[in-house]
Amino acid sequence: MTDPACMHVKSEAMDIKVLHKSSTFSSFTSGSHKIGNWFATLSERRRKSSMKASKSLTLGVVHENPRFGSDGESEEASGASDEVTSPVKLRPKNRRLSEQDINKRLSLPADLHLPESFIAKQNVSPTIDGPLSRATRRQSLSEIGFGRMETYTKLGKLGQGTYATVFKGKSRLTDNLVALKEIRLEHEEGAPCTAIREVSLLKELRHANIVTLHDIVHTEKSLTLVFEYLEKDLKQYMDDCGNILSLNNVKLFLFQLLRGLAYCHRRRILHRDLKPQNLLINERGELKLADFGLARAKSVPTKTYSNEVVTLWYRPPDVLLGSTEYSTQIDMWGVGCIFYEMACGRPLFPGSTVEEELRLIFRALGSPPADAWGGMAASYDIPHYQPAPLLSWAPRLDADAVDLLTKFLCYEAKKRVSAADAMKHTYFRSLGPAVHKLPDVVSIFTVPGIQLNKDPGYRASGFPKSGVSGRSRRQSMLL
Amino acid sequence: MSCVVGEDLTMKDVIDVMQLQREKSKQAISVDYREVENNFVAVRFIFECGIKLDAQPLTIATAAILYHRFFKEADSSGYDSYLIAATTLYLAGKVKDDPLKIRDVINVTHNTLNRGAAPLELGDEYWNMRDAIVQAELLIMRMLKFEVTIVHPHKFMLHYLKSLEGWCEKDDWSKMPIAKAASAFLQDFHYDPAILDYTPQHVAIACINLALQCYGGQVLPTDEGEGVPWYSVYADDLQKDKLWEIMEKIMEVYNKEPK
Repeated sequence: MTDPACMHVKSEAMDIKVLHKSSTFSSFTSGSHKIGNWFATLSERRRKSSMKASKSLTLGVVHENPRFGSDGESEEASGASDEVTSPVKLRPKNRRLSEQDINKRLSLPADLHLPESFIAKQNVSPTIDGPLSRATRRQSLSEIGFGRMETYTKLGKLGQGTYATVFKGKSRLTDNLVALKEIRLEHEEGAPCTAIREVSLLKELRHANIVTLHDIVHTEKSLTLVFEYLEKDLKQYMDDCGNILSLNNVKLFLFQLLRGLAYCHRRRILHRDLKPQNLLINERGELKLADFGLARAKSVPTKTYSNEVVTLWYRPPDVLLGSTEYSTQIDMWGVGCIFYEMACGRPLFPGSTVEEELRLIFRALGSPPADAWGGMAASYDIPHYQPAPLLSWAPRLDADAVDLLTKFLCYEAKKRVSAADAMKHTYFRSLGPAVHKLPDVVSIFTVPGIQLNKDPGYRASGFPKSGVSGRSRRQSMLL
Repeated sequence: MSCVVGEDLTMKDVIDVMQLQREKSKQAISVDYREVENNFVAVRFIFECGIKLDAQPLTIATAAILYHRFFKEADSSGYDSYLIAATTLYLAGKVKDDPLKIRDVINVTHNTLNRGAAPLELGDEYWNMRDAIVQAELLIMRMLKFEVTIVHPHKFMLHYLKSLEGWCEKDDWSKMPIAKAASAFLQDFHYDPAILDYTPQHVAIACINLALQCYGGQVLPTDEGEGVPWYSVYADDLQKDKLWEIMEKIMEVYNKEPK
């Protein structure tokens, strides 16, 4: 290095001067310029690159994604896939490969139905004894059917949103049910940014209480996210048991919600759209967070987010009043509302306008102090309300539960309890210490003694076993 | 610089250097992207277009990182680097929620490549470019396994600088533009794919340490002297060798700049 000062000047020149000056588009006049000179080369290259792309659609060369294979199970192996040596090495050369061998070799789950043609091809393949290269492995996964639409049978529509349609589907590889979230690709502006953010976020998240993304299928017209299928969402679950849940189940659902959320918050990801419709539940009682379309990695704490985020009923008062600076605490208010709704069988603050929502909140919890939220509340005409004792409007809750609920429903965002701290509340003590020591991807139902109770109001029609019977009631998931 | 003989000559040399820099920056303004095509120039293209599009600094940094990550996976001879550059910029806008209109991206990139050209008519040429970008966007996402969320060194650097400021004597700190220099180093390091090889925390520390070295500021215990270097508070996994390796990589960027 020569002269530090000089270097600094250089770097500044590079970044600022150059770019600012040229940004004036100074010479529009030169008529002699061949427009599209660049484009000629571009489109020629483009043909090359799009050829690559379209080739990859069939060969899957660009499906750089061994990790998505197979219900997430190949993920661990994908890193080490280059070292994987074939299990057939030790056996006589001419032995025909069985499905099992191939499954092992590609680190796939055992219940896959490999296509005949694929097995035949593996048997003639000369490279079978050598270690598997990343590219071969990727290609193999694609030939099996990962990343391809033919692999999934659509069974029926579950719901429609602004940018995605969700279908119930079945994987031909595993016979498992899946949820297919089909995102239309706008020709105007390419893939919607909600989709881009949702996919990139979900790829980072692996947790027992977060819905698993199995595969991504990309065709010319759409991008389809293949999720694990869960029978219903919390809203339906509550409807199906006449809004009377067993208090044991309320505790288990709340704990799982907090567990999933604590994991997200640890990674500085906000959900921002918590509501019963976004919490999916399977037969075992496992609850999983879904729909990260509005979530975003919280990059800079001071960044202001758009105000229109959470469905009104679960929206904290500071956000209702227009606060745009929020952090993980934004999700915790909604947790409180959901907790109450599960325990008491009705939504806590079902306001249909901002004013009504605020009025309902203040009527229950008392008027906020005048200086709350930097005086933002001052512009609203708030009648003076005395806080009503929580026990009086939540008769089913015991003292611990009420204490925890109060901590969620705290006016001052900074004082709201965090998801991680809430899990340690005495309310959950009855679950025992083991639930806190589970690895991220392990369900709490693996702990002995943890199980769902029969809900008092449960009607037999609850879990539709198959097909389209549950179709019409399922509106909410992932939209 | 030639060796100094007398005082007058010294003065003259200094002026020459300044002259040289002026000329150099003039030359740099008129980079003709059609003449050269390499990754360094393509990232400069990203920065130039990003600033013209009024994109946030972190959006532009995201685009640069996505660009490097794409060409880490792909063979650079197979793709037009300016198409990829334009697309990463467009994609970065979506990732960072700093939306850039595709039409603006096309107009700005087209005009930056063909300086002085009239804006594109809404014709075949325009539609072809739009399709190219939309297609390339999906291609890039698939190549990067849809992992397009990036953790930047910037926020770490800001945090480190903030706490260093409180640590130093106020006079010492204000005398030297440490923050400015470190930010410049960080931005310029985005020209080099080597930025992918280090954690954001380490890159942030290297930029600050390089700035401190440049100004010879003894405001903080550096790793030259005895005792615990300043950065160990922020990253206990950063060894001196590694730190200097990153700093050298940052300095190398300035040698790669086209003459």
